[in-house]
Amino acid sequence: MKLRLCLVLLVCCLWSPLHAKTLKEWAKSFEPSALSIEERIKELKWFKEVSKDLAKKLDGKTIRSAAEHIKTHFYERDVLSEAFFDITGIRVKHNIIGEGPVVKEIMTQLRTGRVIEHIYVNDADLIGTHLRYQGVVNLSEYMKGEGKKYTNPYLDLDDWLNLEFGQDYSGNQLQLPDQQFSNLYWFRYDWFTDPKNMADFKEKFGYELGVPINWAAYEDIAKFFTGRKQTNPDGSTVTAYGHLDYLKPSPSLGWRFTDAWLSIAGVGDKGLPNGIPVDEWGIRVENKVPVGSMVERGGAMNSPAAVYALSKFMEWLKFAPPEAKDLEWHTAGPRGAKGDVAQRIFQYITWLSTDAFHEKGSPVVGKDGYPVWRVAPTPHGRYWDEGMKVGYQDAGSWTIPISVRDSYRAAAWLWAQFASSKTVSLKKFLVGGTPVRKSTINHPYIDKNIKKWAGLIEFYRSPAEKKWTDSGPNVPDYALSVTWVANLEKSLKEFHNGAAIPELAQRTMDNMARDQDEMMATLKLRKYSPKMNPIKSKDYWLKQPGSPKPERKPEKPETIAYDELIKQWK
Amino acid sequence: MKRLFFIFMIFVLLSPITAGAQTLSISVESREFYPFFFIEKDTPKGILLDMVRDGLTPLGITPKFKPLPLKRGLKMVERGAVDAIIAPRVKNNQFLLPADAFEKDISAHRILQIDSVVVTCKSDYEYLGDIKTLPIPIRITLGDPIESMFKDQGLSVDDAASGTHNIKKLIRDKKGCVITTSLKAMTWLENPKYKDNIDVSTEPVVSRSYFLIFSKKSSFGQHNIQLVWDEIAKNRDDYIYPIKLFTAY
Repeated sequence: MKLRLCLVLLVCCLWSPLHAKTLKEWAKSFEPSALSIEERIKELKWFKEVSKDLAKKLDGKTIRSAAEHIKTHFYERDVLSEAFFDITGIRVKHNIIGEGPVVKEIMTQLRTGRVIEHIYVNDADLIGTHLRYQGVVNLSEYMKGEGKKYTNPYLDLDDWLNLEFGQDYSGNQLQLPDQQFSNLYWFRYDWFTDPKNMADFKEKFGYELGVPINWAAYEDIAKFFTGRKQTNPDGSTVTAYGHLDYLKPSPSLGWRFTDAWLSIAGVGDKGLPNGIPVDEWGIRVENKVPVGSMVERGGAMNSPAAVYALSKFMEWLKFAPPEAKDLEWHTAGPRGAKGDVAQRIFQYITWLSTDAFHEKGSPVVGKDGYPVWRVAPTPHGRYWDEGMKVGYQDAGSWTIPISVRDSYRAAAWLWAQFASSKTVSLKKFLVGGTPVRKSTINHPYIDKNIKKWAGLIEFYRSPAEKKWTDSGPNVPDYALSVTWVANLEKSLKEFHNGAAIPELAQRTMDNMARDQDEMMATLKLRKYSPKMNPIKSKDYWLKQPGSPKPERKPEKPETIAYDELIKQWK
Repeated sequence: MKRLFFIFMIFVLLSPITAGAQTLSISVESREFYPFFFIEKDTPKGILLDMVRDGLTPLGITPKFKPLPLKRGLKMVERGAVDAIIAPRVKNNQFLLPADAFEKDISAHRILQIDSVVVTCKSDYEYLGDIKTLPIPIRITLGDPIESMFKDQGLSVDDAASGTHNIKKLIRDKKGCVITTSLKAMTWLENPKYKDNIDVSTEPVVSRSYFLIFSKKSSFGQHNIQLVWDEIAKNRDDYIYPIKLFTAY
């Protein structure tokens, strides 16, 4: 018995290294790639050579990284970490946890210096936090100095789509984008181009059914489709909903608003990427120092535009499936694929790579195997002005806390570069649908299969893409978003109990702005720490140019034909 | 009957904590372990004390902290002379610790997890888990229970009254190392006096959960104890609470 057990163990021990892939095998496996097979081998050889001493030093050790639970990161965990180990000899444990825990862990590490993970894929929404805490490695300096030896000569930073998301005010790279996701308008192209739907809509509203440019049109379209019988390519007939949203109490309820909902309504100021001096959170910033969120301090979080943003969120729930109250961002993400939703104003593209949106037989996939849905620019609210950001996109970005030093820092940096290298990026995009490189979205393979992404590639290739930005450097501590969640949860309870919307929305935004300012006032940060403006009358600030903006009349609804829109993007 | 009542009242008055009482006596180490615990103008202060205080607030209990050397504090808990102590896990059948205290290295019901790290003069040295490689002398703060770990390995240590003494000695002598908390090391790395002359290794020498350990002789009650541990954990894992907590130091 013992002998048999020993033999089994021996076979197991021998089997494992024998089945480790060679560098060439790995290079071949990353097909398609932006690099030729020879170039891939060259790049992977660089990783192998540069890691030799490091792997010896870290023998028996594991580099710990953490990322949120989306397909891209599962691919990194299940495929790329294995490839990295086979090629470099450096073992990585890529922990997939929720976005909330990622933020909690990195913040604990920044505050205590205790090394929980060696590297994080942390949303660049936290750039304002990182530049003020001064707790993460300045990658620009690292690449020039201590980390030069470990910086991939084929990295090609110019190939990144939105490197600026991870940069501080001075352009220092504090975070390197690993997976990028935008939030776009999603709709049923087949229903929108159905002649009967088009004629009925025109008759009822007096203008063409198309991609809504503003919220007034979005609302009309939501009204039009809600309760209307529609058919799907799989033959099913459904009673449609004109809108989809989520409001389950959870951290993601906060992100539903912090991910630029206020600026989409038009709360902030003109000026890319975030609005100057009032940004997408309604925070006024003077000389990089946050000075207030309340209108009474020159902020816009409780301005008429912000109240309008929350009011519309609540009003439109009547057009959404009733289960919206039980949905979070990740459960709402693939919900449109059920085939009974006509449009969604706030769709994270992260979820559009799930099988439900692409597999044959799905109610949202045509008989030709291509999606019958499309993505388009986010419609904006009545306070939006030309020159403002249009929507939200962010990048989960490699971030190394300064408490990670020497060999661990070098190994973590190599892992980050490997997981976002040209060799692997296109393949990773095909799995997770979250690109970071221009060479990925401009690749001939993507050209051939462009219909599969239903407008997403056109979006990334268009100059308009620069108008979709993340929470910028003005947000001094991302944990402030918790004050949003707490107030929204309370507000939605009152909403369910029948509270009148405009008054409730005003009360909620007043409380939120006050709470956020109270929190900001307590922060003592190493750089650009908030310093609250003195209180003045609301009237004073509403009479100043720009944000906070005074009450505006309802806008005229506007739409555009999708095919026309795509031509403009090209 | 009167006699029974009299005996009951004596018992109530002599017990360390009673149902009606509003204070809880808690021993805390008297050594300097900034910012987790330390004494300022004869008053014990620190992050761990704040967290315990906030954990007791919903029960309407005010803690009374008694700074004592660790060994003495533990004896006091054993005897029931104080209700509780703030300390790393200690096996003693007179102590009440969270259920997972000995099952996990990071307990869910800890107050905080505190890592001790190695600070050296700038060099190629990097601590990677073998304490026998630590540059000599190894400097710790007086009374740090970590001393036993080095002694078990036959390593001698230098102890000083505070971390500040140790870092000054390291800079002056340009040899050896200092064992301190990751948080303290971080402050030294920001200090213009030290930052260009020191290295801090990534790997901790030890990572310990600090607990609010209760005496079995305390009349605080198992139910209340669990409530306090739960409240401390809830605060610790909150997004906002740590901002206020750490901003104070």
